[in-house]
Amino acid sequence: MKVNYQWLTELVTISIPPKELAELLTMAGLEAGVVDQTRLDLPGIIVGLIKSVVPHPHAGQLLICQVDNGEGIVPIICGAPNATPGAKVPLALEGAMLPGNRLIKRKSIKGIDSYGMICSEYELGVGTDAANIWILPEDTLIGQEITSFLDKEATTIELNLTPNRGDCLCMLGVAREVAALTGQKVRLPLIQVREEGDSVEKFSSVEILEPELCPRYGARIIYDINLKPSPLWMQRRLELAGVRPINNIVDITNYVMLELGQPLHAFDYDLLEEGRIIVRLANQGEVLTTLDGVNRHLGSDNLVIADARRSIALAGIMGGNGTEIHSGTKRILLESATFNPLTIRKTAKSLGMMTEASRRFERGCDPDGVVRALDRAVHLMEATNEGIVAKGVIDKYPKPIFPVKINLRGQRANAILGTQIKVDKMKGCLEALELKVIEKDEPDEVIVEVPLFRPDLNREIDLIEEIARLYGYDLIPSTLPHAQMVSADSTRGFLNQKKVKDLMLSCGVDETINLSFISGNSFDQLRLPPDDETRHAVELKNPLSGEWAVMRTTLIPSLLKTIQLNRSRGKKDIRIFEIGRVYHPQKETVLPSERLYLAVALCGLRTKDIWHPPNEYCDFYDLKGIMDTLLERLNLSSAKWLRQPLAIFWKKESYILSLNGQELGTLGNVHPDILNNFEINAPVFFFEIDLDLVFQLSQSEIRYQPLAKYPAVYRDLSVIVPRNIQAGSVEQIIKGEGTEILKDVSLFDVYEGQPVEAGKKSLAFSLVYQSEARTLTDQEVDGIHTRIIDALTREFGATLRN
Amino acid sequence: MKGEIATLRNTAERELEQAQDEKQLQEIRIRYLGRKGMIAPILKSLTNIPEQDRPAIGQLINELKEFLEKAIRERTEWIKASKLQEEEAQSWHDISLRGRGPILGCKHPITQVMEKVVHIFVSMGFSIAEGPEVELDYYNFEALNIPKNHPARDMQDTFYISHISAEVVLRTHTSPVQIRTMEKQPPPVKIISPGRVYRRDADISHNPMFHQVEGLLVDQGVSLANLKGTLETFVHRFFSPTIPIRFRPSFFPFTEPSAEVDIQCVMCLGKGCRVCSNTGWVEILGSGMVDPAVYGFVNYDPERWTGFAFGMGIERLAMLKYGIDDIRLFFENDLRFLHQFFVS
Repeated sequence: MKVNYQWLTELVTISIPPKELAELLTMAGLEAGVVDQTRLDLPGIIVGLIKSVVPHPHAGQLLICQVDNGEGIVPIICGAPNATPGAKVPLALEGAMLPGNRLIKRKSIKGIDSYGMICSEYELGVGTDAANIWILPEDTLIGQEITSFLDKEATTIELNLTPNRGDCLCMLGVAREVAALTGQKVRLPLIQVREEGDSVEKFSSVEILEPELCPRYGARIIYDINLKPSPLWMQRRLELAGVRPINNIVDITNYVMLELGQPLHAFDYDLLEEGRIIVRLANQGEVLTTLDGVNRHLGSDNLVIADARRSIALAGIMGGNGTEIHSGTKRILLESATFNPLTIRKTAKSLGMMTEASRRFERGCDPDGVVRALDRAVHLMEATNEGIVAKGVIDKYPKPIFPVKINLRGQRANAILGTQIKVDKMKGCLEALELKVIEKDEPDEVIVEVPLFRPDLNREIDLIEEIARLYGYDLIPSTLPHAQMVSADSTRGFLNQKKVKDLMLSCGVDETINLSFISGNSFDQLRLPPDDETRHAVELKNPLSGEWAVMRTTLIPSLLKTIQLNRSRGKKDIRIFEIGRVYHPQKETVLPSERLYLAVALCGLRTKDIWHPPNEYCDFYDLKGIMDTLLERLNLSSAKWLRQPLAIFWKKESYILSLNGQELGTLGNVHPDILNNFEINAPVFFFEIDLDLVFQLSQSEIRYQPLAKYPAVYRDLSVIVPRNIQAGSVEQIIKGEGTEILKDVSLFDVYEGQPVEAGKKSLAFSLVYQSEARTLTDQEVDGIHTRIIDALTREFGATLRN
Repeated sequence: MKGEIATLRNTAERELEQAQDEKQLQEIRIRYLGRKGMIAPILKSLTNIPEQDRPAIGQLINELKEFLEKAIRERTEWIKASKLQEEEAQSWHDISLRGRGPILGCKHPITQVMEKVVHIFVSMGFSIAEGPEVELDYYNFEALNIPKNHPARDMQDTFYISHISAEVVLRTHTSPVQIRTMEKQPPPVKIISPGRVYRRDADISHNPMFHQVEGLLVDQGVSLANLKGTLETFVHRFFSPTIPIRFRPSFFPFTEPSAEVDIQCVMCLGKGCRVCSNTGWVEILGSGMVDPAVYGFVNYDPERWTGFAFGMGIERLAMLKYGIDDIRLFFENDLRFLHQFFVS
């Protein structure tokens, strides 16, 4: 809502500059944005000084002014009564262009030459006063262009109104707020209606078939319409408010809406069938062409204004073009009505029509302002000689709406606010807002009657908020609550997440956060088979774009896109992770399952350009090392890797991680076809793991083991086995044969190549033997060591490496 | 015999002085003191001299041996010391080179801010509550006093989910967690709910996905003054203890009275700039006293229990904290951007 500062001052006295006013409104809950102060856009108009004034010898009401234009004295003929010597005035000299494309020429008036024009605010479009010339401040420089002046008429304050304050969608509503905040009284705009001729009942009648949806409908008839552009000042005010001027009639309806908050509509009376109005629901399938030229197909829940034959307007939203004002319009029916906010909103929403009228009606308009708005509009029409007003008003009000009465307890208000405000002070706040306060026998309580222009105030709490607002939030004390202690082990989930994040960071992986939605074709890009469960995703009904159409079921597309983006920008070495939810639709429940996943992707150099050689590329084992670290840290090392060809990985570098028959995650080398689909031309190693499950299975209890008292015996064991034997299986055999004195086995070398025979590899382990009960003898250890070698030979055909 | 011993001693002394490393010393030791060394034959030849002379000569030989042992030891020490000295004199490192060792990853700035916010509230005694991101319309709107066909619905552009039988949305705020928590437990309630939220909006200050932390405190005797105290404490801990802060009336369907909290613009320090639309203030969070209508949905007695709720956008806090002007940078994950937040 754009609030015109000058206009506002007509309704309430304001003694502070616009910026301060904006601040005041902001701190009262009407958030003021930009204060727009522009300079006059009137090139060629300069400041002149009236040196002398004498009456025109041949025209009694005209004056000859000698005006100093800074370069010389020129005679100007002028009719304004306030032209006096010593006044500084706006001067349009020959050749200047006034608003409305009015070119100033030298002309002779009754035998005397006039070299230009002294202008009124009206003529310059900066004010409403047409009778007087505009007297400029005394300290202005003669000859200077008046473009350097602030255009006070164009000073606007942008209000970002909250949806509850529909009452402030007009100058009057804002004026009420200003009055309440500054201790002033609102001045209602001038209304003087002169009626002539036949009574309105002779012309028309109004019938309301849906009094719940249209509690009040008022109308007036104006005839002998003189359709033309509206006065410049009105056009400017409309333009500044963002409303396009059309003609005097339409402009006045818009002007009154901006001023009083009551939307009006003017029908061409002569186009109304039988000249009457019926407020009814549309017939199913009824078509109405609205003013914007669109054919609206209506349903039986849309409220319309109709004449005797057809619908002529979408109630409270937009008129129809069948009864629109046009150049030949002679008589109009002016509508001012109250509609049910809900019905207006539903219709406006379903038809996708948000208009100035619907915006106000769906927030609630004041039923008590219906006739006032009609009268203000006809006052403006008469004031500019635009038509004659028929006698009387049609005012149908079948369902009178009565003000709400609310009981207010002072103690309750103070308890909510944490204050000790006296009830008298509260009364003062409410009365300043034009609420009626009625005393009760209980000294702490009052009854508050809320005028209909504040439909947002229905409950005691609403009044408490008004008191707080007017009292000032800054005066409310600031204290910490005395709350009970509660025991809740609620931080575990958050801390677990933090633990994993910190672990990933210490593994040298950067955290990323990607959008939760992915493109619908991501699953094709991942080459997933048609029946793959991962394809079954939650779909958005109204996505912003196809790129963000479904909720992700896996984190891999997000990470691949991030890799692609960084590589395209020259960053080739990427180690990233994300922790985020994935979403799977469920058969049994409305809401999908949401599980927290961790995903890691590696691409490019391992060492991030460190000067220590060698700079090697990440491989499968870099990725697995991160996963192993995570599993060790969470005490889940007993989880098993099962090789299983997944669509996204190289067949032989594709694994799932499983524990107690549950699948924890997947790990592998992303298939080049998929990388190609994501425009990545370097290997990417990726794993993804279900963190919710991991946390559920992880047991981090630690039991201390006493330190050994007897010395350990260290032995190395180097064996040659076929290449396809997993080191883990060899280790298992060693552990199995090693008995309880074998305390530790660790692999320290894996070697293929000369002199080891092709198809075989050498594995070297270091073994630690130790007993809690005694010092071991060499003999004892040799025995077990030999048993281990025998078993390896038996199982894998292993031979000792020399 | 005496002369022979004296000569031996002189020769050994000279050789020792010339020895430059431990190996040479070892050779000298063997040459003189070894089993086949030069002293051994002298000892053997003692049998050839008169018996009365033997003790004196014997003592001389012993003295020679002791002397040699000591001299070798000292020379060894000296060589070690001088070697160390030389090594030390030659040692040199380029301290400007980065040391070897782990290069840590960067924590996403949103995570850093989120953890900081959560930490402040947890340290004040709030618990953490979480809930679904794909949420029922009921929890996201209805139970928060935002009925269908109410203009307040326009305040948040919503993503809807295709579902046959129910109205499902992507949560537009983490407030539904408040309702779910109150449904499950009687007062008092003291929670914050961090998480991802979604709004159908995309430009330099709006992303269709962002993060929020919301809080709820319901107990006996909780007031707007308590809300001010709690949020002031938060703001002072998050930004700085001296930053100016103001509470201004506003509207949210689920709180009344409602308040928006502004801090002095961190970009221009209140002088007025583009970021603060020349007001000198920037809004950082919304808050208010829980609307009695909300208690109706969870069967709390509004006459007995009062409380406050608040909510803030983590991206907004991060943008102000780090001076970032485009929200989309957070989700593009350009490593050149992310690596700027290594210092934590």
